[in-house]
Amino acid sequence: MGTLNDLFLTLASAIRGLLALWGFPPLLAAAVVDIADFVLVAALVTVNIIVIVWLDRRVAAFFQERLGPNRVGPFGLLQSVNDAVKLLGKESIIPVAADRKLYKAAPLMIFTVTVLLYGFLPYGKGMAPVDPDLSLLFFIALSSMTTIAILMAGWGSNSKYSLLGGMRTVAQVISYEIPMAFSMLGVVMLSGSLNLGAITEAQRGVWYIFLQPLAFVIFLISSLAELARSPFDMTEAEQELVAGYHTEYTGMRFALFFMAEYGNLFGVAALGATLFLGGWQGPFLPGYVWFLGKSWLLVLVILWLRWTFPRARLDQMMKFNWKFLIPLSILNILLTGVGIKLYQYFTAVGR
Amino acid sequence: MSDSTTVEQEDALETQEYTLNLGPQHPSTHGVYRARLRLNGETIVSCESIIGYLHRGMEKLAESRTYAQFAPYTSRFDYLAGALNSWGYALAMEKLGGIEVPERAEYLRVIVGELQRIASHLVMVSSMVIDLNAVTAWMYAFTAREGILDLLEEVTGSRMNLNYIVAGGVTEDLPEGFTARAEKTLDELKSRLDDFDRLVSGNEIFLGRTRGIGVIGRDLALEYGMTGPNIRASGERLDLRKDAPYSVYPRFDFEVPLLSGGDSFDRYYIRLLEIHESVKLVRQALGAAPAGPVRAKVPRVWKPAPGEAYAQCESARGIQGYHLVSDGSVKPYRMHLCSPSFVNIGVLPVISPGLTIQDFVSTLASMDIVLGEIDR
Amino acid sequence: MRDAALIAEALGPELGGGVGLEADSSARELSVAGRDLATVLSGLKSLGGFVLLDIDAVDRPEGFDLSYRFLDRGGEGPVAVLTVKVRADRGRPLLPSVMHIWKSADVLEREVWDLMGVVFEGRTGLTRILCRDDFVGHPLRKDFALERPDRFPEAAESEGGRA
Repeated sequence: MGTLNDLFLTLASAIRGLLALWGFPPLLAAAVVDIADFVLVAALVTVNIIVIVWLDRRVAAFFQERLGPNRVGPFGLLQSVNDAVKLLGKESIIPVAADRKLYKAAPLMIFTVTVLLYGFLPYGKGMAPVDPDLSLLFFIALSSMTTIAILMAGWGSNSKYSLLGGMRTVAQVISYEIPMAFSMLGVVMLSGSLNLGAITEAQRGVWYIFLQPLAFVIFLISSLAELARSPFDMTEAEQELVAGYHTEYTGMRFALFFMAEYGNLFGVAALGATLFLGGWQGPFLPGYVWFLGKSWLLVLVILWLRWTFPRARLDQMMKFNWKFLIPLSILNILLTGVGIKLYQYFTAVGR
Repeated sequence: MSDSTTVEQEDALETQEYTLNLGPQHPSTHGVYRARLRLNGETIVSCESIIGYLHRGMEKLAESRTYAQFAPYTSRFDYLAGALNSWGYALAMEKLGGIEVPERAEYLRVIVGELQRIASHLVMVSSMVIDLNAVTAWMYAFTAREGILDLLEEVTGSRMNLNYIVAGGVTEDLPEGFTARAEKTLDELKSRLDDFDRLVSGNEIFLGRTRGIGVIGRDLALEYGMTGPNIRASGERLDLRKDAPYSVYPRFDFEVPLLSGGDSFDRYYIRLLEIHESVKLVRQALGAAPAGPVRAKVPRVWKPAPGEAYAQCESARGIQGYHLVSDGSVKPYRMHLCSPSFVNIGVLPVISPGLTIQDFVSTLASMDIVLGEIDR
Repeated sequence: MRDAALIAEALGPELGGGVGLEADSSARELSVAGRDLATVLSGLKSLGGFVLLDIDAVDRPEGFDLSYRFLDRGGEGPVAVLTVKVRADRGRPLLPSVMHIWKSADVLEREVWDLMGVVFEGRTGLTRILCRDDFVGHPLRKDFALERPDRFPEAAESEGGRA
């Protein structure tokens, strides 16, 4: 069990040892291991996207008393691969009036951000590919970059629908970052660190969802808005804006937006699992299995919400954010602070 | 000094209205309807309805078909409630030619007509919620509709364009064991509708999107000649089945639901209530239908005396009327359809200013228009 | 519903002298001359209890016979349809518009103009509603030739401008 848990770490040090044996300078050896990390992370992103797209369609189907994809591959698992191949084969159509540089750069940027985000996640003890002291801050900062990419797509497409979609998304994403960040502040205060690995370690005794239930709910709601998932998906509301900021995209560029959305979905779910559900903590099974399992659990919850609720209206959503969610998250910080001080006082008194 | 700079800043922040076409190809315009919206940001400043994309020249077509040949065309007007269209046409023909309909045929007309009304209302509520992205709820209502369409297929052989109600009665009698199967389907319908109702009607987000949106007051609705569930949701009790009863409706015990808010939610909810009333009607009609012929004899080559006739029927969308003018030949001299959706849609440009695009989508969905009927 | 003759009587004082109004009780029709149409219809509005459902036009050799169909909800008993019949001249089919009195007449008059070619005076926006904006001719007229190519101007140009 111990070996299974440390499988990847053992592999990494074995590779480093081997390279040192062959006379590689340590910096180069570290670089090779980093490249291997990157390849693994990229593979994880791809596999995750394929699985989650499949999960989305099957879950939706079962909710709606139908079957969903079940022809391509066992249980329809290869359906997403099929779709990706189809999209790859499509003609690259760029609208004549579009701003070519912006139009082409937007999907690249948005998918790059997604892959970058996966680099910060602690898949197990000591298994975060990139592990700075402020990894949580990096994560939040990077995920905000999607806003720029969306604006690029909306503006660059030179279409009213796209522009409307882009503007709506920017307004929505920027607004909901505040309660998201505030809800995470409670967790940071409890664990005393901005490092995702340290936060996971600090949940050895009890998971933070029990200590910070309010923050968890706020986090869930604001992450739905961050991801522009239903019920907050008016940015890509097919029924109103045809497809929002990616109306004018087709083929592989469209696929990149699509993959970025589902990639971010897992990324945010994994963040939630790390912050509130104890990350890789758990008995018997290796850490990364726990991590993935908890992340997929949150993914399922998010999918469930999407298929149940109708879409909110943009201004109602904004009102909800500014007049309800932000004050609530500030209240949470207040309560957490008071709670911590009381805890310290009582433990000091008890001693 | 500071005053002048403030004025300059205000001038520099000039905003621009823009025009957005909602339709004719759009996922939520319920057909090929085009709304040219003038927008300031997301708020509608003015709205212009542009129709005619589905104009098939049906009224002109009618002049080169015999009366019986044109009957199947009538279910293509309001294709979601085809039987009710055919009923209106049959009534007009019967008035023109003085044809009497046997009693059993009247009951069968009520059964099929009300089943068709249920199916049409199910389409309306489900397409309204899917316009608001409640995809699962849409699926529930459509699955319920499948049961109704199966019943209609049993009786008429066809799921949508039934060609069942014709001048003189109906084309076929009910098949063996229909009553039992219909009762079962109606029970299932009730349970699915309850699921749908619980999922949608109390949902905060749904209420936020429909309550108080697109309010049409009673007086405005009357001024614009609205009929059908739309005006009943605005508080005006107008239903031909009660106010000018035709066929055997007076013999049944049913209510006409009435709501007074006039907003999108009321227009949605009243159709759920009407489905329940239609279920009652179908059950009563199934129980009370007497034996007898189902069709009066109408000569194959039918030449009604010169004259004209106008007959109305309460369709799923309002009062639908047919005007037939005969010149003594086998083909109508003029056939005109008085379409409720055509008139209902006239009120949209009046209530749109001030709505956002999202509200407009919700309001349009709640008006339940069918372009086949509007454009003919 | 109210009796057509009684309605005509009730309208009488409002209309004043010089307005010819014929009533047919059994058919529930009122016949009126074109120039008096607006007066009669606004009289109906003041009487109250009517809803304008439809405007229908029939192309007869003598002219265009228009039927304004109202739902009569006043009086006692079931509601019924009251038809106001008016004839528009064949050569110059002109009628006063009533869209400022009866709001639903806006789209209904446009349809009659589009398909039958009856012009309604005293209103703005009398444009085609069902046919294309550049359509030539009025399809529901009996003399509208169904195989005429020049109803699409660009087709006429390509055929050498054959009229």
